Order: sequence, then structure tokens, then C-alpha cells
Amino acid sequence: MSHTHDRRISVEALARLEGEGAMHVQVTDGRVEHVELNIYEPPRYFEALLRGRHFLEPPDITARICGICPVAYQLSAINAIESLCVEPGSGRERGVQMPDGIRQLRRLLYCAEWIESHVLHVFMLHAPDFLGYQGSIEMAADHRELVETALRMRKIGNQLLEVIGGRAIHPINVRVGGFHRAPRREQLEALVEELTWARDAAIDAVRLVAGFTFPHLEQAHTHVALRPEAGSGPPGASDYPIERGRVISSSGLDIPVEDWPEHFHEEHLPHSTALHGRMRDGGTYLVGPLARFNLNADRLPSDIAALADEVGCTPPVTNPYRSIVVRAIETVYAIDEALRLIAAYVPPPVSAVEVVPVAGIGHGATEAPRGILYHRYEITADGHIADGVIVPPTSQNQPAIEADLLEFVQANLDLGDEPLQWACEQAIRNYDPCISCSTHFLDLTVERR
Amino acid sequence: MTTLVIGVGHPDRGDDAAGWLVIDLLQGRPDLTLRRVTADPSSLLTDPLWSTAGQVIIIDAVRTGSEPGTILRWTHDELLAVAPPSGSGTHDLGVATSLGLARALGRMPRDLTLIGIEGSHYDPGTPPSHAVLTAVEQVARSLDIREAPPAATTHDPKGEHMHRTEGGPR
Repeated sequence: MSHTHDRRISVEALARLEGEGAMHVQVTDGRVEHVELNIYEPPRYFEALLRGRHFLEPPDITARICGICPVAYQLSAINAIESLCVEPGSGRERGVQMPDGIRQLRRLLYCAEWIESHVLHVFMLHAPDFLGYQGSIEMAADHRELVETALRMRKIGNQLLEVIGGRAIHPINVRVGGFHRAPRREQLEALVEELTWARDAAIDAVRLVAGFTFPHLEQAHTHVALRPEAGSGPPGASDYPIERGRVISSSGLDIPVEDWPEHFHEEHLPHSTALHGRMRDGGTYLVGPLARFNLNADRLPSDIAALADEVGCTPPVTNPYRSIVVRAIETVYAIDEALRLIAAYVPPPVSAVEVVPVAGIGHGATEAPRGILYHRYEITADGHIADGVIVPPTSQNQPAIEADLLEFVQANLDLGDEPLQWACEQAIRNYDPCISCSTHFLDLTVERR
Repeated sequence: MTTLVIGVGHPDRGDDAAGWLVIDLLQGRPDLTLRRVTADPSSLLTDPLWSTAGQVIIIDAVRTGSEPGTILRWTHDELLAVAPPSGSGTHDLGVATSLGLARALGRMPRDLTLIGIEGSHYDPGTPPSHAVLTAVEQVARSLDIREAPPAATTHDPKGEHMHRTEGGPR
């Protein structure tokens, strides 16, 4: 295996299910000409499945898109659909006045998903890269306490999901208008002790991961994230973006979610069956923890902001490897926010508000653990879905990931193919894309001329 | 004796629904505690039943190169002996990684069986194949049968290597 000027690197996926992705790198005369990352996208199938369905169905249907972030799909769908609904007799043309308790539960449910997803990624998937292990199993042999801590933290996230969502996998208690059943206050209070432990554990994790050694890679992507209006949340909530907000960017964009199609679009590229997100001006952009943090660090509670400052994590964070630190900080935030919401929780007078649809096109966006998840639905006068568009974070980040990989591979061409494959996997893992589990999700072969 | 049965898979992705479908058929059996998971069973390691159940059975679709619908079984001892390489994807942990973690942490159930049903397609929105549906019924009917045919080494569909015991349809 040599590393001369001409080589073609074909990185086929061995994803959990066949055909979920592939990566190709073309190197000519020592220069990386292009990088193509092809990631399989389930939302395309679900968009088709939604057409003709009743307007109440998308939260349950789209929850099945992802086993890790079903709440994100449910609440983005609900935001879009409820923007087209009214309460009978309210006198409003559009929009629903949602009781505080329902708004609290939605944000709380989302916190549970952030805890679950971020803990999984920080401890089980990403930390082994920095600690020099092939994966979490090998890491567990030397860092048993770390893995046990992660499992315990995930458990509390799971329990919170179950109490509010009915079950941890594909929650069934969520509906347009609210919930099928609202949990009692004491059900949530029973989780406070463990959440308090988890908060301390998460703070320790921030200090641990901030001490990792990070490869040098600085990227100047446009960052895009939601940003809620200050004080717009339910009682107990702070204003870091999770389930609501306007769309803002590091290049000055500041729009309501319904203006999304005017500024963002998805395009088909010949090398990929997946759609790639771009800004209307053609630029690539990045969503996810780095974007959220860089655009909303001022919205963190002062003690968490001080923690970030203590470990040297201050905006703008432009090294994607440092995303593990931001995820750990967001884990502290999600737990902290959950505790605040539970303390302020007032069970809603009704578990769900009765709503009826108004014909039109509705838009909704929330911050999934890995970035903005946008939904758009066209609903007919008789309450059926005429069209649905789902833009997941992974497809938005794909062009930026490819740009990073191009630079990364160029800088590491001296590596042998196997180390390069491993390094590419690590680089991709920074973005937490929706590629399912595998031993090596990239399988690298080299063709020489 | 409590028996915990875990169906792994996705209900909308062809033969990947196998584990969930077996759980559907087992509903109402008072001797079983049933769970469904999608892709990532590691959260079950903190389920009290994982450690205390008399028997834990995991059912998942597999791809080993066998005929579609083939039923494969890995016994507790085989699973203890096998050292699956770590799965470090970007999004979740698979069955083999979860079991590897369980072993590394000393959290293997006292009696664990992994039942694999050979699938043939996993495209979103497609129904399970006839062969897998037949196997699903067989697994649900014969869940309490335990045998340990000779083991061979192959590759499972989650991209994680494990030994397998090929028992064929039964």
C-alpha cells in the first residue's frame, strides 16, 4: 500500500442496514479533487407515505423515522401542523393558544431526547476516538466507570421519555394539540433525585472531554440555528433553542420558520440518492451543536456559561472535533432545563387542546440533537396531507461535511489507507450524522493507476 | 421464572421488522415480559430485568448468507465466548456492541439466547418477505425450545461480526 500521487479511495458503507451510505474520495497528482458522501435518508420514503393521511397522523408516522430522535420528528411535525390549526370558537384565523403545562411537557420531552442522544454520542461513540479505543467495548475495559455513568445517564433520559412519551422508543403519547395523557406532577418529581445526580455527572464529563487532545481543523462554515425570543418559553423554561425559535445564521439571517423555503433548498446531486441542503445563494451551511452554541451561548444559564468558559469553550467554536465539548455542555443544559421545568410544572387543565385544521401550508422547525429539523405540510380543507417535506439535519450538513473531509484528506494524504479510513470515520463522527451502527461504517479500498 | 423477550428492528423496513413481529405474536403470554427496541438495545443493560430475568431472548433480523427465513440461534455460552469488535458508528449501538458492553461490564444475563431470522431485503416501506413471516411464526411457536448446534463464523447484518449457530428453520 503506497501513497503516491494517484489514488482513488472508495469508501463503501457497512452500515447497520445495507446501502445506508458510502464515501468516495478522488485523489489525482497528490491533490484531493472531490469528496462525495452518500448517506441514505429515510425521510424521503416517509414524505411519500404522508400524502393523503389525516392531519393528526404525522407525529406518529414520522416518529418512526429515527429510533434515536423520534421526539424531534414529532415536535417539528406538530409545530408545522399546529401553525395551520385553530381552536373551534377561538375567533382566531390561525394558531393555537397552548396551555403552559403542555408547552412545558413538550420541552421536557425534548430535553429527555437530548440527554439520551448526547450521552450516547459523547460517551459511547465519540469519546473512544479521543481516548484511543476502537469503540466503547474496548474503552469499557479501562474506563468502566465512564461507561457505567453513561448507561445510568441514558437511563434517566429513557425514564423521562417513558413518563411523558408513554415509551422510550417511538413515543406514543404525543399528539397534535398536546398529549393523550399528561403525567402527574409526582411522576416527574420522582425523577428529580436521579436527574440531580446526572447533572453533576454531566458537569464532570464536560471537564473530562475538554481535556482531550483535538486535531487541528478550523472551518469557517455558515452556522444556522434556531433562536427563541427571550422569555417566550413556558414557566420554568430558559431560552436556549430546543423546540421553538426563529431561524438565524452567522451571516446575519434572521427569519421566521415559515420563510425557510425562500432561503434554503435541497438539491439532487448525481453521486447521491440523498438530497443535499444548501442556502439559496449556493452556500453550504452547518446545523447542530456547534451552530446552536455559537449563535446562542448567551442564552445559557450563567452557571453553565461559566462552566463553558472554565473549560475554554467560548464562541465561536470552529474546530468540529470540539463538538464533543459542546455536546457535553448541552447535556448539562438539557438536564438542568429538565429540572427547572419539573420544578415549575403545572399539569395542564386538559391533556390536549381540541384543534381543527385550516387549509394551507404550515412550517415547523425544532432543534434535534444533531441540528435543525424542518417540516412543511400542505393541508387540505378536509384535513388531509396534500404534501409533506422533511429536511433532516444530516442532509443539511452533508455538503459541509464533504468540504471538511476534502480538506482533512488533503492534509492527511501521507496516512496509509487504513489509518486514513479510521481518521475519516472520526471526522464524520464529529457531526453525528444519521448513519446507523456498524463495526466500521466506512470500508475503504484503494485503486491505483 | 421471568423470561424477557426483546424484539429488535424497525417496523417499516422490510425484513427488519422480524423481531417486532415475533413480539406481536407473543402478546398476551403471561409467562413472558416483552420489549421492543429499534437499533440500540444498550439501554436495556440498565433494565432490572436484564440482570434478574431467568432467561433473556433477543430476536433480530440477520444477514449471514443463509437462505431467507433461516432461523439462527446463538446460545449464552457462545455469546460469552465471542468477542465482537466494537461498533462505533455515528448514531447508535447495535446488538453485538450492546452485548459486548454487557460482557465487558459483567452484565450478561444468566441465560441469554439470540435468535436471528435471515432477511432478504430492508428497504423502507416494503413489507416483510414471505419467508421471514413464516420464520416469525415458527420462532413465536417454538420459543421455549433450546438447542445448541455447532457454531460457525460469519457476518451479521449490522456490520458487526459474531459467531453464529445455524440451526436452520425449525
